[in-house]
Parts: sequence; C-alpha cells; structure tokens
Amino acid sequence: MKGIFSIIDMGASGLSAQRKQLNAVAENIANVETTRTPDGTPYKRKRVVFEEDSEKATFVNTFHKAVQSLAKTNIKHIANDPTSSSKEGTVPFVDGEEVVVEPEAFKMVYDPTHPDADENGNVLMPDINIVTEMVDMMTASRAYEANVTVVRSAKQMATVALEI
Amino acid sequence: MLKYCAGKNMIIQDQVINKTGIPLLKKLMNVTSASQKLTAANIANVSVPGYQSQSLDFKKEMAEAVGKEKIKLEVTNERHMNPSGGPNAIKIIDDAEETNSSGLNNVDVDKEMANLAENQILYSYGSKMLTRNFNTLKSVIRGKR
Repeated sequence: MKGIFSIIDMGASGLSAQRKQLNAVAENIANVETTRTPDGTPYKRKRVVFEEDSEKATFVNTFHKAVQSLAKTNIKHIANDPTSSSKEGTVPFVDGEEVVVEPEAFKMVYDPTHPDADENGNVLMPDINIVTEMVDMMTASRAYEANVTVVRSAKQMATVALEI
Repeated sequence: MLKYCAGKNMIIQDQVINKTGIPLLKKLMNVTSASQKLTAANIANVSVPGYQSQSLDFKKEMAEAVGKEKIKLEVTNERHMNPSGGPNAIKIIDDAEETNSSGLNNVDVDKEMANLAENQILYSYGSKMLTRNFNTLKSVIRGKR
C-alpha cells in the first residue's frame, strides 16, 4: 500500500503546485487595472516557479525518519536501516513558489479623468497581458486535470488491490 | 516447532504457490505500481523546467520474473530467505529524449497519460487474476464442488 499512497502524495503535490499557479493567474486577472498597492506602485504581476522537491514531508517520508533502526549487535544481524531501504528519495515531488515579477515598465494609459493620472493625463497600469494569463490558466488547469486523473487512478488501483 | 512451521511454509510456497501464476502476478502488480509512481512523478513535474522524466523497462522487469535473465539464489538451507519473496529492486531509467515542444523539459503528457491508463488496467488485471488464482487454490483445498 505504501507505493499507492505515495502515488496519491505525488498527485497531490502536483495538484497543489498547479493550484498555486491558478491562484496567481486569478490574482493577476483580478488586479489587471489596480493602480494602488501598499508600496505605492501599480500592481505587480505574480507568477509561480515550479521546482523538484525530493524532501517533501509526506507521511511516508516522515514515517521513515521517525522509525528507529534496530540495534545491530552481532555481525550476523541483517542491517535494518529504514532510510537506506527506502527508494522514495529518487522520485521527486513538485513544489510551486509564488514570486513577484518586477516589471520592466508599467503600461502607460492616457486617461485624464483617472484620479491617479499625472499632469499629462497618463496613468500607470500593471504590466499584465490578459492573453498570457489566459494561456497560463489553461496550462495550469490542464496540468491540474492530469494530476486529478493520476489520483483517481491510484485510488482505483488501491480499491482493486483490496479486492484480492 | 517454529522451525517445523517454517519448513512447512516453505513447502507450501514451493510446491503450491510457486506452481500457480501467483508469483508472476505479484511481480506484475509490483512493476505496474512502481511504473505508476514514476508516471505520477512525471505528470506532477510537468511544469518544472529542466525536469528529467523517468520510466522503467516493463519488458525487462517482467522477463526477469518469467525466468529469462534471472539469476536465482540457491536455497540450500531452510533458514535462507526465499529469493522470490525478497524485495525486488526495480530499475529506474532516465528517458533519453531531448526537450520536447514545450521547451521546458522532456515530459510527454500524452505518453504519460497513456501509460497511466495502461498501467491501471494491467494492475486491475493482476488483481483480478490473483483473486481467481486464490479462489482456485481455495476450492482445491476445500475439495468440494
């Protein structure tokens, strides 16, 4: 069962990373015209950077760390080091980290009636391209679906294994 | 007493269980679940730049179980561990393909999803056939129709 649960953990790590990406996209789209932020600048685009995460604190990994190895007091004893027998570390989980992208330049929009317009009537708007955001959203949502399929398949496998 | 029981278990393992398809099906389920895990890792890491996708050689792993290429440990003493019962290391290989059209890494989602479906079916097959094998043994043991 350990194998199947780690498949579910793996799928879950993918789901959580892709959900972070969807969150970032939603935030970007919602703030497409935000001119006021606590730093005094227009809103800055956020995006998620994905990375491999081999040391994820899953149940299995934590369990292996917690299990005490048996004392080896005689050379005839079989080595029982739970961490060495575990091959969990070789297959990486995934993790997403949200980073704020420093824009090269904010978008300049001419709108003299806007309260934040400068003396020439220009307003600085966030540098967000809706098309890019939509593409990111579709990518994240497809990847999310793929991970859902993985979890569903692992669940089905666990069920049939219990039917033996 | 313990020694006697262990010997008896050995005989059942050797003469009954190993003559059915059970060891092979066990291996099939082990291999498919390991493969499923690698596929899951590949799908989870689909957006990681520079990720190296991994897989295993299904044919090779199964060939070992069927008896080809198998280096069998001799059991010369009943206290020896049964080699077929020990944990079988499954070899993980890095896929050789270059970066795919996404330009990010070499995970091919279509291939992985196909793998996922195939593995799931094979695993279910293993499970169902194992049940049948056990049921056959059970009815032989009961000896009645």
